[in-house]
Amino acid sequence: MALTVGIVGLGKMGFLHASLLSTLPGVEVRAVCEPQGSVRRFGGKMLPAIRFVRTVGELKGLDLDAVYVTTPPQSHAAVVRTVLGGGIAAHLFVEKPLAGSAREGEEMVALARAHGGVTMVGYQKRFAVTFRKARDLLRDGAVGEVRSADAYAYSSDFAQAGAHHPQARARGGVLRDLGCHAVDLLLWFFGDVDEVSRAAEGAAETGGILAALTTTSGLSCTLSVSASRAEYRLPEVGMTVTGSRGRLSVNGDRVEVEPQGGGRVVWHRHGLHDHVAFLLAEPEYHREDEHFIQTICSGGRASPDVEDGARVEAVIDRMEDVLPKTA
Amino acid sequence: MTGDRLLLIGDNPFHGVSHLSQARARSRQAGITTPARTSGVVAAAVESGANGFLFSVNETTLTILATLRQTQQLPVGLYAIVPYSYEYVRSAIALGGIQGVARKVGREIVLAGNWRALLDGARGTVTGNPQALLRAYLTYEVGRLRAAAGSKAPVASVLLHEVVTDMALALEMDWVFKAFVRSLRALGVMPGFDTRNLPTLVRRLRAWGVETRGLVFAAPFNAAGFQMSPSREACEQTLADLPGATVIAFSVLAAGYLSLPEAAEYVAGMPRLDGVAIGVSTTEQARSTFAVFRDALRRRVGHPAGSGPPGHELVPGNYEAVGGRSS
Repeated sequence: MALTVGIVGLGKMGFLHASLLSTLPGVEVRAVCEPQGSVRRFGGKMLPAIRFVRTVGELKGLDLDAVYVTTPPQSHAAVVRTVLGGGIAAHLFVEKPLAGSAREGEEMVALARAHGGVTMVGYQKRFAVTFRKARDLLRDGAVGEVRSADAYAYSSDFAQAGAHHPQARARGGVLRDLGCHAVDLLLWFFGDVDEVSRAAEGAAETGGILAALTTTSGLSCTLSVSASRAEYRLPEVGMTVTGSRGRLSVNGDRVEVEPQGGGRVVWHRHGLHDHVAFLLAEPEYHREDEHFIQTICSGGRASPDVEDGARVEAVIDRMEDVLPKTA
Repeated sequence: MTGDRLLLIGDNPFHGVSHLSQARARSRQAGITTPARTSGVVAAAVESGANGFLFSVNETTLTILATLRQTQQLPVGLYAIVPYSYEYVRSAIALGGIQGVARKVGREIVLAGNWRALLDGARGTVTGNPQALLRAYLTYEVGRLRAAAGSKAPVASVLLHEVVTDMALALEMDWVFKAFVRSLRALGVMPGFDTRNLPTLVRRLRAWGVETRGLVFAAPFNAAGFQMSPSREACEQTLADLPGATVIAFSVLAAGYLSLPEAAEYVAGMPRLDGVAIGVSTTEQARSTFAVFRDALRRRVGHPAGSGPPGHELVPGNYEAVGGRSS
């Protein structure tokens, strides 16, 4: 019997997940919830096998196993409340960022705990071969003892329109929308954050946000975020980690280790077994959806789940408290 | 000059695209700035053996075509890819989703004054018929192309962009493929599909009763297996059993991960490939690169499909010094 999925929100990410899920064996995309009438109307004509509904509540009774939430982040909490509270589905995938605030993130964690089921948040960078390789290298001591990390997230999404464009705000602001990837990677690589402060210098250089963070293990990190960098045709997230014996740099394309004694080593994603059964956008999206579905089938905890997502929200809220409102 | 095989210049570098690294993409973007310069690169490629141009239809490439037309340097075969998905994704971000993009495209069609496209567009909107809308869109794009390159321009094929092809493929939207083929043939243009999932696409087209003979397929083929989904072996097997279709390889250099001789050797060993598309960003690079591939296409080394060149081992790419290899 197929595992049935409903998608809430048929924007870019809704389409992407609906497509990838349709390629996974034993998965049926059964329903789409979309408030815009014209999208529903044409969606119904284009995808006649999928049931289109206007409100989340209408998904009840469609016998869904899982729901993907791909609406703007401010609406995530309300959708999750309806899905879990209304018994619409047992398992839940929420696109990143998890919520519009740390408080909403905590609420979703409480709801998820109360209802059981598998939850996952769409931090797909964790499924990129380069970031996985970098994490393994650091754990294996490739640069010795880690002393600092500088993470960044840049795009040109609002290079022309500006970070205060209504669509930038609708997506939760640049820090939440784009910076959340870098925050999640820092948490995944180095554990929880203890202190957050405004970085002393460099914000003007990056044209965006620059924050200083200290992890509970005492590691000093910086985070630079901007959606106004015209030279970044596509969004890019990356990190440079300095250790006692060298330096590691990683982004979605490559990992590079520079030992102190010289002899640079580079791994491109091409050489890191980056194949997936169906390639649409980057391969990490396929791996992400596959991981969610496999976790539902096998039981256990997906990673990253809503608790991981809520930790990102908590760090972002603290950054918003200390940083000037100039994304 | 290349036997009956196609040697196409690809447009990715003109838009600052590199699948090897975004850093390389940024440097390309900074280096290529004017239509005159990019037209010069295309002309140099043609002088060095290129017999066609594979490009996304957008303002940049249309300007290049218009410039080449004025100087009577148009390549003999134009292979146009629609839609320019990057532009539409960016529009969706700025305009707030699919509805915003649909309004923008509709406005462009009206402003273009293409009556055939307007009629189909109006019919599709009123009746909610997506096939009529697709026909309207294709009529508009072919009209744009011919306006820039000339009404008698050598438009060899119009291909559906890989994002749309692969999304429609994943969602099993057979009507997209059928309507695309039918609409383009009605416009007197050979239809084609740009894909990163060639084996799945060919299998499904056959299952849906879409004749693959007479179609053009553009797909990644390279010795690294980069972007060859689900695997290099599966793609090569599909290639071996695709009679009557024209198959054009892109990413033959695996975006710069492979050296020129490695890539050329692979192409020479794939006699069933009908052509290759290669992106270059300078006239010097055009001359050296196309001379190598012109010779490789002429050689047609008879390695059986599925095996690749014998004893082939990957070495670091030709675009940057790489001190180490992936494990």
